Amino acid sequence: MGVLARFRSLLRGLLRRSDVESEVQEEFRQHIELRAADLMRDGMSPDEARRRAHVEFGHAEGLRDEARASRGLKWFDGLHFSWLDVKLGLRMLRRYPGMTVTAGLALAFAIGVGASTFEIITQVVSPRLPLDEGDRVVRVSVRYGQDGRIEPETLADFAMWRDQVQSIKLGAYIESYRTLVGGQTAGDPVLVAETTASAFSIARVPPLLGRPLIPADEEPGAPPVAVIGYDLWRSRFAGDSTVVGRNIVLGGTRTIVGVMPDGFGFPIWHAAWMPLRVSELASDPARAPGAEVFGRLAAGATVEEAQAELATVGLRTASAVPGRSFRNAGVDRYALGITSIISGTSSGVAVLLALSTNLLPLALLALICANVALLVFARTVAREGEIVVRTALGATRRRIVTQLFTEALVLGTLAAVLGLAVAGVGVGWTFDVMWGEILEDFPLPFWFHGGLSGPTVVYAGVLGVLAAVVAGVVPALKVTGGIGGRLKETSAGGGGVKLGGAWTAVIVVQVAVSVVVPAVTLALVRGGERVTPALPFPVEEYVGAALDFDPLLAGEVRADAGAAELAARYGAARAELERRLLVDPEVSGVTFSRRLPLQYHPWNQIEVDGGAIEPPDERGHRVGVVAIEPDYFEVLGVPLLVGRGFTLTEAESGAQVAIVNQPFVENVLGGGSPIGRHVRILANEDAREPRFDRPWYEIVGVAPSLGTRSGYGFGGIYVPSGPEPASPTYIVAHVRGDAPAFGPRLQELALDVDQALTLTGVMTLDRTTESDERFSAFWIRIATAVSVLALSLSLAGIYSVFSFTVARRTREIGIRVALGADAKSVVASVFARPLFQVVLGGVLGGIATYGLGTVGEFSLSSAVGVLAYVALTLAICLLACVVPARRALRIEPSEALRAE
Amino acid sequence: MTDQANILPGTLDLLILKAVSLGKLHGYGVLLRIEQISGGALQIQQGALYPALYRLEHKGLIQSEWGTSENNRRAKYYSLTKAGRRQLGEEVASWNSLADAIARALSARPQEG
Repeated sequence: MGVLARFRSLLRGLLRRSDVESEVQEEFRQHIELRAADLMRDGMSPDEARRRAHVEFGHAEGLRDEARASRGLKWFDGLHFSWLDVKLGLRMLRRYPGMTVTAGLALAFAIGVGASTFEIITQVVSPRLPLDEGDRVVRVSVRYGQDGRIEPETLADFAMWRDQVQSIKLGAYIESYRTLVGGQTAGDPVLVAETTASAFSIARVPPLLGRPLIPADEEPGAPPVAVIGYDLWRSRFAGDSTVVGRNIVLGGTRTIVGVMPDGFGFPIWHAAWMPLRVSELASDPARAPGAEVFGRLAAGATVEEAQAELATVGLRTASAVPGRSFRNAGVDRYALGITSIISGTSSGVAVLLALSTNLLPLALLALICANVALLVFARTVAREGEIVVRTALGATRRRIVTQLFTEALVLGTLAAVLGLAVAGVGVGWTFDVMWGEILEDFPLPFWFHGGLSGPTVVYAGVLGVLAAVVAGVVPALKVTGGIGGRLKETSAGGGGVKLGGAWTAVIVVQVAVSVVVPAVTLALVRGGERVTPALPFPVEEYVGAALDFDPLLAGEVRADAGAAELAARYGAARAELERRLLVDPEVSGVTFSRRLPLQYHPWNQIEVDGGAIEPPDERGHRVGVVAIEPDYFEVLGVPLLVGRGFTLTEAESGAQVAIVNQPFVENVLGGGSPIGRHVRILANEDAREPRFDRPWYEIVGVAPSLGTRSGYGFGGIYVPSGPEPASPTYIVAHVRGDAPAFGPRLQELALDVDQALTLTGVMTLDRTTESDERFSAFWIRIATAVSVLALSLSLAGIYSVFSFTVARRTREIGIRVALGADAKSVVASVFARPLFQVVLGGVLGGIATYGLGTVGEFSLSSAVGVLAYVALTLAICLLACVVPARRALRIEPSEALRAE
Repeated sequence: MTDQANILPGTLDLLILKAVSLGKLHGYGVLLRIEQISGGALQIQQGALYPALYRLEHKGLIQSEWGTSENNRRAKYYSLTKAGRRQLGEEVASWNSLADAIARALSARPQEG
C-alpha cells in the first residue's frame, strides 16, 4: 500500500532533514499555544495555562524521536548517515577520476539497460491506456452461432445494441489502409478507422486543431469529412496550421475538419478517422460488414453489470436473424498486453516468461558490480592506513562500513540518474526498432510510449542502491575484517589483506569476456556490411514500390466480382499505369518484378541436374527466386554476362526457362558455364517439405549479382512472370530527374488509373535496406557499447590489481632491491601471478571466440586470426600494467623501509 | 472530562482518519474533533497524536499542507487521500463486525454455553 508515498516521504525525511525537523517543532509549539489559549479561556492564568499545556502534551524530545520512527527514518539514524559522508564520497569521486568514469559509466549502462527492460516489459505485459479514466474503456464482443459456426457481431448488431445498452457507451470502427492524396509529400497508404463519432467522446481527448468527428457526420448525405492524426499532419502536411478545411482524397474526396494531438491513435494505432455511416451500412443486416466494438463504462457501472446487460441484449438481437443463436458476451480490458495480442490469451506462463526477461539485465548488473567491487576494493586497500587510524581512535566497524557504503551510494546514485537518462531514450528507440521487426504488419499501439513510469524510476533507484551494496559494502567488509589484529602490528602496509580466489576468478572471467565480446561485435559489424553490397546500376535513380490491388479501397465495401474478373481489372490497371508512366517525360523506363533488389527474398530449396557442389547442410542449396518481366535487365541498364534474356513469348506463356546470377554459378555450380543445364525448386519457406514432381527450368542466361538476398547469400534465379500479373508485385521506374520527388506523382497516377491500386513503400532503391540496416545498427550499437565497457572495465580491473600488488609489496620490493636483487627480476616475480591470470583469461577468451566462430556465422573461425586477435587484446590488457610496473621499479629501498 | 475511557491500542489511527474525513484539520483540531465526536468519552495523550499523524501521512493515507490557523499563525492542515478514504471504509467495517462479535459474546447467557 502506498509504496510511492512511502518512498517520497522517506526521501524527503532523508534529504531535507532539517526542514522536516523544524516543521515538527513548529507544529508542537502551535499545538501547545492553542491548548494554552483554550485553558486561559477556561479562566486559568497565562503562566499556569502554558505549564499545564506543556504537561498535557508530553515529553517533546521523546515524541520527536517517535515522529522520526513513524516516518521510517529510525533505521537510517542507526546508520549515522550524514552529509559529511556524502561530501567525502563526492571528494573521492573527484580524486580518482579514472575509476569514477569507468565504474560510473559501467554501472549507468547496466542500470539503464535494467530500467529500460523493466519499463518495456511492464508496458508490454500490463499496458495502461493513456486516457482519462482509461481503465473504464473496454472492448466489447458478442459471439453468435449459426450452423455450428461461431460468428462475430456485425454493424447491424451494433446498431441494435447501441440504443439498448445502458451500462456502456458504445462505439464501433472498421479499419482499412487507404492512399492519401493531397498532402505535400507521398507516403504509404494510411491506416484509417471508419468510426462512430462516439470514439472521440469515449477517449476524452480534445483535438489539437479543428474539431473531432460528431454524430451529424454519420448521417447519410452529410458532407464527407476526415480527422487526421498528429504524425500524418507532420509528415504529409509539414505541420501546416491551416490544414483544417483543406480537401484531400482518402477513400473519396473529403474535407479535413480536425487534427488530433501527438500520441493519440485510438482505437489502436490509427492515423486518420472518417465517420462510420452505421445506418447506411447496416440497412441490410445480411450484407452488413463486421466491426470492432468498444465502449466506456457508464458512471457507476461495473464490468460484471455491463456483461450481464450485454448478454441480455445479445439474446434479444440473436433472435432478429433466423437460425442464429447467442453464444457469449465479453467485456474486457481495452489495452491488451502483448502476450494476449500474440497468443490470444493472457496466460500466466507467457506473462512469467516476459517478466523473467528482467533477470538478464540483473545478471549483467551483477557482473558489472563484481568488477566495480574489485576496483573499489583495490582503492580501499590503498586507504588502509586511514582506516586503521580511525579504528584506533574509536570508530566502530559499522561506522567505517557505513562511510564506505555511502561513498559507493554516491556513485550508484549518479549512475542511476545517468542510467535513467539513457533509459528514457532507449525505451522509445527499442519500441521503434523491435516492434517493426517483431510485428511487421502492425504499427505500434498508441498506449506504448517512450517515457518512464514512476515504478521504473523507483526500480532504477533500487538497482543503484543494490549496486552500492555490492560495490561498497562487500569490499568494505573484506578490508575492515580483522582490523583489530592489524592494529597490533607495527605497520599497516596492506600486509593483512589479500586478493582471494573470488577476485582472481573475476579478473580471469573479465579478461576472457573482453576478448570474446569485441570479437562478436566485429563479426556483427562485418555481417552488417554484408547486407548492402554495391549494385552495378545507379540505384538512387530508380523508384520502387509495392503495387497492390484491393477493391475495398475503392470504397467498394464488398467485392462481389469473381477472381478472374478482378485479375483482368488489375492487369488492365497495371498496363494503363505503365503506359502513362512511359509517356511521362521524367520516366525513362518501367518494369515489374516480384521483389526489389536488396529486399529480403524468401528462400527456395533447389536442385540442379548433373550435380552441384556440396551444399552447406542437409537442406541443400537455398537461393532467392524472382519472377520478372522480359525488359527487367534492360530497364536496370545491366547487360547479362552470358546467354540471353527472356523473350516476350516466354514471358506471356510462363515458359520454363531461367536466368541465374553470378553468385549462383559460383556457390551452387562451382563455376563453369550453366547455359543449357536445368534447375528446379523443391521447397520454399511456406512449403518446407521437398517435392520432386516440380518442373525443370532450362538455364538460358547469367546475370550479375543484383541483390537477391535470401539470408543464404546472394544466389538467385530469375523466372518469367507468366501470363497472369500476380498481386502484389513491385513496380520499378527509372526516373531522369529528381527521383525521390517523383513518389507523390507516382501515387497520384496510380489512383487516377484505378482507385483500387495502392502503392506501398514508395522509395528510391538505395533505401530498400533501410529498416534492416536500422535493426542491425541497433544491435551493433548495443554490442559496441558492451565491448567498450567490457574492455575498459577489464583494463581498469587489471590496473587496480597490479597497483594493489605494488602497494602491498612495496616493503618487500624495497628490501629485496636493498639486498642486491636486480629490480627487473624482482618486479617480474612480483607480477608473475597477476600476469598469469591475465594470460589465462586471454587464452580462455581465445578458445571461446574460436568455438563461437565455428558454431556461428563468424568470419573469425581461422585459428591464426583468433591467435593474432587474442595477442592484440592481451597487449592492450598488458598496457594496464605499465604504470604500476614503473612505479614498482622506482621504489627506493630507503623509502620503502621508511614507508608506513 | 469525567468517566473517560483510554482508547484501545490500534484505534487511534482509525479515529484520526475518521476525524480528518469530516474536513481539513490541524493537529490540535484533530484532537478536539475526536473529543467532540466521542462526546468527550475518549482521552488521547496529546503528544501521541503527532507520531500517529506522521505515520498515516507516511503511508499516504492523509496529506498535509500549510495554511493559516484561527490565531493567525502558520499551521499544518491534514486531509484524507483517496487511499485513506478506502482504508477508513475497510477499518470501520472490520471494527463494527469485531464490536458486534464481542458484544454478542459478552451478552451470552449460561444456558447458551
